[in-house]
Amino acid sequence: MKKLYPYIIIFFSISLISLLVFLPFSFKGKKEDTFLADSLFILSIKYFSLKDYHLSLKITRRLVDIQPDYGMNLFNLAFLYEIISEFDSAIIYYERCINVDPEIYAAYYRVGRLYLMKGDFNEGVSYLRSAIHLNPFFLDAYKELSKALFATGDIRGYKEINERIKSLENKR
Amino acid sequence: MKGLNHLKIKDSLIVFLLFIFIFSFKFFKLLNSEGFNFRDDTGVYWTESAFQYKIAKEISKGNSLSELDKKLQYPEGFGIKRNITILMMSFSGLIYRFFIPKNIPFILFLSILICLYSSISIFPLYYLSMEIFKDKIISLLICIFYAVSLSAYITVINIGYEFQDFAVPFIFLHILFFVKSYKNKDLNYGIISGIFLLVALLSWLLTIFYFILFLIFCMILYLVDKDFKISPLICIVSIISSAYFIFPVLQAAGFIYSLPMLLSYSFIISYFIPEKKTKIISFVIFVMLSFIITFIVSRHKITGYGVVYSLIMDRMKVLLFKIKKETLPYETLVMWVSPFNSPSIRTIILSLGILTITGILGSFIGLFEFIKKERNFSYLLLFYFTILFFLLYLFFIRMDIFLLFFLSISTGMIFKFNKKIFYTIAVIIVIFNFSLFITYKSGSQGPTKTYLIDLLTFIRKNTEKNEPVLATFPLSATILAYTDRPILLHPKFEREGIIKKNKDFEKSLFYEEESLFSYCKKYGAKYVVYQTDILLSTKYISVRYRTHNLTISKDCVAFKMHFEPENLKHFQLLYSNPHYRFYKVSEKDTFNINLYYLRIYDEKRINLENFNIY
Repeated sequence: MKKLYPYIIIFFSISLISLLVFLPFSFKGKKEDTFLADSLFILSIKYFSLKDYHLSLKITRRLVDIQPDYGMNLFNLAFLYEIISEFDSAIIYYERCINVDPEIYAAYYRVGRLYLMKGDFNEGVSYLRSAIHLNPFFLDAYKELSKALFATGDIRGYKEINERIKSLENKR
Repeated sequence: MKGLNHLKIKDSLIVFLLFIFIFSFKFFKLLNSEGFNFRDDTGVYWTESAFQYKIAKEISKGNSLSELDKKLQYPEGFGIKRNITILMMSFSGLIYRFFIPKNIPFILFLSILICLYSSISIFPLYYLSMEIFKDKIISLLICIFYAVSLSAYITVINIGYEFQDFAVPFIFLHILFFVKSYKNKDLNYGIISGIFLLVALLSWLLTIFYFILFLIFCMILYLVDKDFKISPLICIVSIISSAYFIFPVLQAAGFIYSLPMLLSYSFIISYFIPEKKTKIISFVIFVMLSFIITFIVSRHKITGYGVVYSLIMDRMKVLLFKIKKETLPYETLVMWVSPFNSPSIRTIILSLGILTITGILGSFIGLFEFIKKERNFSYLLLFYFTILFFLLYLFFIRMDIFLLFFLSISTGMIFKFNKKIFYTIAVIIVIFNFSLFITYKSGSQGPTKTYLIDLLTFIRKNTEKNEPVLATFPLSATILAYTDRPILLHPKFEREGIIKKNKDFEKSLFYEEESLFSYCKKYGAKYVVYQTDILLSTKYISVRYRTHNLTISKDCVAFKMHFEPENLKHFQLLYSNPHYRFYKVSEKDTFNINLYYLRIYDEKRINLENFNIY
């Protein structure tokens, strides 16, 4: 065992030196900056307004990478995927968004619509009901839900939702 | 310095490996902590840690620290060098500035550094154990017990940048060298001990309270040890008291006439009085004078300490006289936050594991040994600090880092006599404590990250850099760190007058709108951040609890900021998320506000009676 000590010392010394030498290289171009996310967001909006959705998506992906705990970034990324018709990816990011921020009812609404488009009515209806639970004045969600209930043959539910739509429209 | 010669390379190597083990686990756990993000530091540190992070980052950029920084406390200004200890932040900031490639994110570097320096305690632990037991195996086992217990990690892996992690290793080094000095009658060790205590003091002002405990130990030692040697204590007191004339932070804290220093002068002077009766009388008189001076100073001159003394006294009152906690003054309740709370049974088991039992048992074995057999003063020291820190831990959870250190060493006492059950007990401790530690889920101490980032991003994008923001003190420090906007309040209660300023703000929230508006006008706040828990929390750490507003009326400004922003005359709602609302302070009395529906702000969906709002 005693013979091993010099080797152990050498091993740890080399590991420590390597760590110190290579750490800077492994972070090349990954410099953290408190305001980097803000700049990236502005850039993604700019490309979005220019209708360059792919570039906007690429930037937003980077944003999600650097701020994984921020729900709005995940929502924006999902929305961009939805625009370029990559619906499976959009669903993944809407669901991640809901996980991070369970109060974003717009995410429930949009992912519900996507599930309905895919033909998964159970999931779709469930998400739309959650959106309405979070925001009882969410007219678009009621309309989508009404269509879905009609398509599934839930006429009683369909009538109830339609009543609610009428009352909301009257209030407006 | 003969004492160090017996340490061979292989012992040092094993201790070094344990150091690497602690460091690696800390870093690994920290990287996997919920809320830790080295790619974007927004909202990573919370409250005091955020405040310290901001200062360290400024130093790392080469920005000079102004005498009175208005950003840190608007409009009065905050004297960084006078009001807080900056050694820890300077150390981190300067190393990054001069030695670290700038493509390594500052927050990543800082995390590595925190993990490194907070793990240093393993060295004094080993060498102190060697001093006491003179047994390598026991000493190494003690280090292993320490290395597998959660308390050695908890502040770091819960994403904190706290003074104690930096200062505590120096306090342990000071104890180690004091023991060496006392045993070997070597003044050099006494000087080193004093220097380490000074470094701890310059890193964390609360070290002063440790010094009281240390002083009491010296007094007990004087009573029980016929060969009592005062020279190590004189070395320590001389070094730390002479530092008063060099460091502004010690001057601002009135260190030279603080209670522990006055007690130490009393003790040293009395020691040299030859006649026993006169010695006792003069000591009693000196001690009484010390308390009177401290009382006057803490009430009238340096109020920062007064708050700590009041907290201790009030906690004693609650415990002994069963006084209702909610009747205590704001000044006590505002300090009674999580680090100053009592641990639950679950927390004790989780943080210290079996060491709680074995350590206390070991300390009593040590006392028994001291009385009956060996007059080894280290056993008395072990008993004294273990029991004292255990009792203090029952009051203040933050004491766990001290307690773990002494519990680990005291556990060594069990192994000193019966080597047959040695391995079984050791293995049980290691497996039990390590499994508790490894299954612990670490995370940020702050609120839900997504809403915090949302708020901070909004402030960065929609306000000017010189516009002061008013928020509760824990959030204010975070706003300062990540938006660089001036703040009115902060959690550094050492700064004179800040507690009253916090109190006035928090109380004004439960009066009518004019009260908050005049507060904003008085201090020049441009924006106010409202948090939902201001109204909807009545827990002991809540604003309502500490301002004695457990029952409130719907007329108060907090209610309007929550449920009726359209009825406010001087506060324009700019932004909402489920945790925060951001208001602009304005002289106008009519606004156009665009209300975004969020169920938490819907009065119909919340049963107000449950929150005692009428």
